[in-house]
Amino acid sequence: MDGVQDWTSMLIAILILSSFILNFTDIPQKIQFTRYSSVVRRKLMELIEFEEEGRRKSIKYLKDMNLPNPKTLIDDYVDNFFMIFPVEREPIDVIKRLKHLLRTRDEAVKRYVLDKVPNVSEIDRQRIEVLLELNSVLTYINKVVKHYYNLGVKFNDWIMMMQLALQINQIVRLAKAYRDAIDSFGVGAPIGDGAGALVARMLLGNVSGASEIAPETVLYETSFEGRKLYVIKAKGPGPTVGWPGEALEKLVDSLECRISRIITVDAALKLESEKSGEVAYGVGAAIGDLGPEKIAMERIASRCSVPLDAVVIKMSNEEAINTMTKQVYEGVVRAADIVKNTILSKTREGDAVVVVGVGNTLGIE
Amino acid sequence: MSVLLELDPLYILLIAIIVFLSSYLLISYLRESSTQKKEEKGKIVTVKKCLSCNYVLNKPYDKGEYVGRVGEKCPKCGGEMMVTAIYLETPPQPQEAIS
Ligand SMILES: [Zn+2]
Repeated sequence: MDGVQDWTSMLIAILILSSFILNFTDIPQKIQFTRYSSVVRRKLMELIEFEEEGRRKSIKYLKDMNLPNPKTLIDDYVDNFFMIFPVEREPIDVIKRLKHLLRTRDEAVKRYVLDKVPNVSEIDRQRIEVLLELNSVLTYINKVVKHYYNLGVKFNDWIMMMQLALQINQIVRLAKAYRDAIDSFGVGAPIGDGAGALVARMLLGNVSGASEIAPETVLYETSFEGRKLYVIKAKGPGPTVGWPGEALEKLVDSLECRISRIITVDAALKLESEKSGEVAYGVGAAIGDLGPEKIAMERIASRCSVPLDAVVIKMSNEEAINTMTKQVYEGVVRAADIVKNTILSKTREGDAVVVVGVGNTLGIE
Repeated sequence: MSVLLELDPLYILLIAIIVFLSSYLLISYLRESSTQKKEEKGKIVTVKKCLSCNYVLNKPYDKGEYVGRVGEKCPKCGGEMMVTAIYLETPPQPQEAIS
């Protein structure tokens, strides 16, 4: 009996002591801080490995293109070529300013590659640009994570460290997608984001003879069940998205609004509960740019009062920037059927219809 | 008499807590390491279709192929074949999300 009483009094003493420690000291938080920061440190090593691996792979792909010194090409690019967003507090002509900045940046990147690698083909130039951009993104992700990690350590901020530790798995997943994307772009097969462009290609069948209506953007003219069909997509098979909004604007202007329907097709981010390759349709401009292209489509459609349809193929972030999966491809086939049905049911013979296949056209002519 | 009954109940409680905690740690460690290794890259498939007889051919992707490329001869009728699709065939992944 005595032994049991000893134990109970000791247990009570331990309980009181631990409740004191839990409530009136920072020791539990310090312990958690150590635990969470070790989680972040471990994942940060993974991120650094991703960055280095991405760099190695890019150098390999650039060497395969016979570039003289790929390493300096990448090192000089990363961290540079940022774009400062225009002032939004004064919204007048903000889209025009944004468009100008975007074009200026694009031109600067193009000039950079052409200066370092003269006599490069257009497709190789676009591939180099994408590889540089992917490396830049990987470096940036690492820098942001390191920033918050260092801040957390510096100020003993366990809440910041905890938030970082809880989010780091998603960040690693994103970085992994970008690292894998280097391979996907190196391989040259269509990526998930090319779903819209692939729908456009499917509507065309074996039609060729495109005209470059806007920079890196092409227009095909064909017919479908008695309708005149104009198809706009980025110029393939290099990895580019072109300027579909500008192209649509030019086309509809040149036809003096004699268009009875505009159908935009694009890849869209799925919610976690949705399946990859699900297709949905609605109205509006299906395009995920920063604004200038989308607003160009909306403006021209509303100015000519042409109905603007949207068809989207859903996929995850990772699928969008990696080689197109079979599920997404099956979605593309369904989306092409939906576009055909829309044309058949909502336009009459003799009408003119524009289909805009939005997205990166890598591996799709 | 079994050994357990001779022990103090507090010892049994302590042992139970230790067993629970260590198995929890072990399980969470095992779960983490098992989610890390399921990385299977699929194969990229190129689908070619004959423009005259609609014969469809699936083959592994070769570098340089792109959708819309024509030029190869159809093994059936000798007509031109066009690449109509290129996609990645992945092994089915276990679905954990509620859809
Ligand atoms: Zn044939």
